[in-house]
Amino acid sequence: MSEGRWRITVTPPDWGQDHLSSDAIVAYVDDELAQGPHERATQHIAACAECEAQVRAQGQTRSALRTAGGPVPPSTLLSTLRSIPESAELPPPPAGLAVTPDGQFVSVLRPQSDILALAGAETPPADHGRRRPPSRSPVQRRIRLGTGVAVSGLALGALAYGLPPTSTDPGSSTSGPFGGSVLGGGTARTVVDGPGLLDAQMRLERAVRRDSDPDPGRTDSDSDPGITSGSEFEPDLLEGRLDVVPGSFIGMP
Amino acid sequence: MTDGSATLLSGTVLPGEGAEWTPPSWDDVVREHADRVYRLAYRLTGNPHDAEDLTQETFVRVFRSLAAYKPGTFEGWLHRITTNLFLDMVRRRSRIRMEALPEDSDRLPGRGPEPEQVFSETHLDPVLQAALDELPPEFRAAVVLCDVEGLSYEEIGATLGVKLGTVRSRIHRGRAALRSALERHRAAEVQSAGATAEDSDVGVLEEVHG
Repeated sequence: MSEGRWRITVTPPDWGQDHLSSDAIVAYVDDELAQGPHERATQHIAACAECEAQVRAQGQTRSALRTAGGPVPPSTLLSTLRSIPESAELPPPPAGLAVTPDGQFVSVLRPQSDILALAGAETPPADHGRRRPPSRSPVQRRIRLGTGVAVSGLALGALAYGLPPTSTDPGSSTSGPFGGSVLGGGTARTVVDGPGLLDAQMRLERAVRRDSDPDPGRTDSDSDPGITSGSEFEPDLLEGRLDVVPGSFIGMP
Repeated sequence: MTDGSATLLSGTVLPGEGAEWTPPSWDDVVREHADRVYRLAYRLTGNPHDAEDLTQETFVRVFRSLAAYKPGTFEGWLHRITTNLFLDMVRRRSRIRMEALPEDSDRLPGRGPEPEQVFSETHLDPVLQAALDELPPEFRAAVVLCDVEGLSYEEIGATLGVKLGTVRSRIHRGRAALRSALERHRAAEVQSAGATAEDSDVGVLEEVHG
């Protein structure tokens, strides 16, 4: 019996416990082992030629790369990189942001308190529904939300151009591709499609031009209380938003 | 608008984020990071042309989302964009190669272009880059991020989206393969140097038969 136990203890596979694993070797070379394991590995390597050779091989390759010179970017590449702001094709502004004419990002999201303030002046959606064709789909409703932001964008743009806020009226024009406008209201805090914002910029230009001649869309404006009330309080609120970046935008890659 | 309400508004929308931070100018970004991105792109792609393309694409991505930049993460962000664009590029190309050149089997994998013709204009060790080019892209990325960029295992794991164990084994196996490729390339270099020193007739003969 004791003979059998003796035999077992003298024949452990010597590769099992007598050498460092490859994970341990690479982590030792890169100094990524905790202090305890590092000390044990150091002791082992001092006594084990095989592991010492592996550590040396990894270390040599590592320093071959680390000491190699780095390539320097050609000057043509550097000037290409510098001109990216002029040449790069840009996606639409991220959700909740619009670009002012002078290239600044501005938020068009409504802080929660504004939504509450707006709620009273809002036309109930059902009212709009009656005036619209009955075939309105969810997609169209999403587009209407975008238009609501377009109005905010218009107001911002109008501020940037130094126009009175009433020039945002064309947002309510039925001639626009998205039909009549709705101020964001309770849903305006949700993520808004970029194209709506771009549209705001394009509409702004139209709005500025339209300001000079009689606007057929303006006849419609009194039927939309959202717009009318918007013209009263927009400047203050928007001014406050110029430096506000929405939290949802920060987490991007 | 008073200061107080401005703070309130930004506090509402953006709690705790650096309102005092001013974004760098684009020239600053290019000046500070172009060398690093180009070096990484060069080591990953192995040639100046692809390195320039990759660098440019990386900076276009950076420019598009510059407003999302959080102070302190710029390098990690650049590493991630560059490396992932590289891996995308490699996958796209291998897919195209598989579809377009089914009989291109006489081209041995890992036999890159002649190192000296590609790298003569740089200060890079051509043998080293040729050996790097032989590594599978995922292994090359791990080794380059570790030994060229000097990232920790944790940072490499975050950049490549893999676990620490995977990082360790890719670096270990990548370096081992790199080492044997280096030895092979150096041996071949010595051999060819010896061949050119011998009788030129023998060289011509070998070329004809080879």
